[in-house]
Amino acid sequence: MTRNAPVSALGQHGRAGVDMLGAMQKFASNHVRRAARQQFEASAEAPALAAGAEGEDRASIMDWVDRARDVAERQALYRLERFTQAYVALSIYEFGIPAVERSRARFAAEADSVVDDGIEVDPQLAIPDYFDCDWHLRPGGWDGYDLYGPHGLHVVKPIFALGGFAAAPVGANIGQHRLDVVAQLPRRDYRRIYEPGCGNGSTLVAIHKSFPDAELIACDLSVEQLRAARRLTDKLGIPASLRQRDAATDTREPDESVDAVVTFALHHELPHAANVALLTEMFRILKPGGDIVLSDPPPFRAIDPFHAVLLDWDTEHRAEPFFSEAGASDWGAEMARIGFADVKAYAIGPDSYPWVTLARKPG
Amino acid sequence: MSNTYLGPDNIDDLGRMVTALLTELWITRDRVAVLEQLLEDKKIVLPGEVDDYIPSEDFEADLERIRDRMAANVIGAPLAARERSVDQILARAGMERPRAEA
Ligand SMILES: C[S@@+](CC[C@H](N)C(=O)[O-])C[C@H]1O[C@@H](n2cnc3c(N)ncnc32)[C@H](O)[C@@H]1O
Repeated sequence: MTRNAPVSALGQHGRAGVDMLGAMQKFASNHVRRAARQQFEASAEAPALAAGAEGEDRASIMDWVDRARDVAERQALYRLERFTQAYVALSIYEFGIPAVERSRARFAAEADSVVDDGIEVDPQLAIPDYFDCDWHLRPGGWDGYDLYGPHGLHVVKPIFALGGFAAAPVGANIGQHRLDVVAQLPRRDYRRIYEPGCGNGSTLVAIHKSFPDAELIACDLSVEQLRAARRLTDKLGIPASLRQRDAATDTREPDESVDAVVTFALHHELPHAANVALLTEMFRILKPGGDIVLSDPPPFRAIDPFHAVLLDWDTEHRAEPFFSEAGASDWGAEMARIGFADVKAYAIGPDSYPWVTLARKPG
Repeated sequence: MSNTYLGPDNIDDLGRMVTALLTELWITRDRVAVLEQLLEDKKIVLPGEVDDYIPSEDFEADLERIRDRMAANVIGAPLAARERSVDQILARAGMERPRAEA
């Protein structure tokens, strides 16, 4: 028989275990969450909470979330739903790391296993303190394990593809989200498009699909993530310049050098001040008349209290230290202060996700 | 001497042990399904074939259905004590009864 047929990357044990983690998350986010929401909405405090925060400032918004969390935590089904979420989030590493380690020989044999030559790596780059975090409970952070690239592809992706975590509702298709976000850009004729915090490159794929002739430039702090992005863009034949940079301090792109900026799932990973600095840096590199589209989980002001409790939970429980800080922020207002015009913020999918903020640099 | 070891703060640990067992149980159930499929397709299974196996789209859809039911039975056990209508029971199992013709 031929041995050339594609074989399962993780073997049967790894593949099936990952599948079950996805099934647990799907069931919990669907059935258990629905029942938990009913308990929450039947509580005596629910009507007052549904009226929203008392003020629009970040302190009032967080006070509202705190009150809603107290109600949710009293309820058995909420706790059960969160227990399952937490179990899956931990198991992505507890189960997933040994699963990819077992297939190390296979990943090492891939011709493109190390692809630094296609990346501008900057060993001198000052990595900001806030980046020192086991993001999403990932031991050692984004660069903590040399097989996090294949781990992302064969463990994280199949579980996340089902939706039902953080802001993505069950059944959400994140690939389609990326295309939908990019489609918000109002023009078709951009020549150079920039993505700060490109991670494993999935959004670059969406940008290329919509703008096949545009030149793509992207940066990330993490070398492992840039390597994953290089593997993905090479495999799909997408030309993109990948640079290790801190997008919140200096991208080292010339002033007024890009026509559009796209961000996806980035802002909730930075402290508020770094986000403002990042948006200011994007303003600097955009050409006058250039457009920017941001996408991140919805702000707390745009969602109901139970939903806000679920999002806020990631801050403490899924190693997202800035999730709530971002949820209580108003990026549109910050962008207007920086000088952007025509700022619009709106949801383009169910459960207010993806939430986008669109703006233009006057010119 | 007391032979009680776990305390109330071990309830989460017990939950983790149950969910870990669910993963292991599914891995075995999936392995049985793959073996059955290989035997049906070729009457013989070679070393390594189960591990290398990638389910076809149709077979994966069948597996997903069985897997979702198993997750529903285990993770949904606490719901079973609370939501007991026929429609709720069927919905947890990913089913519904045929609607009466209008
Ligand atoms: C959740 S990932 C999203 C990746 C990608 N945009 C996508 O759509 O999948 C966020 C990424 O932002 C990167 N990041 C965080 N802070 C950054 C900064 N100051 N400059 C550049 N990248 C940053 C992280 O390393 C991580 O890869």
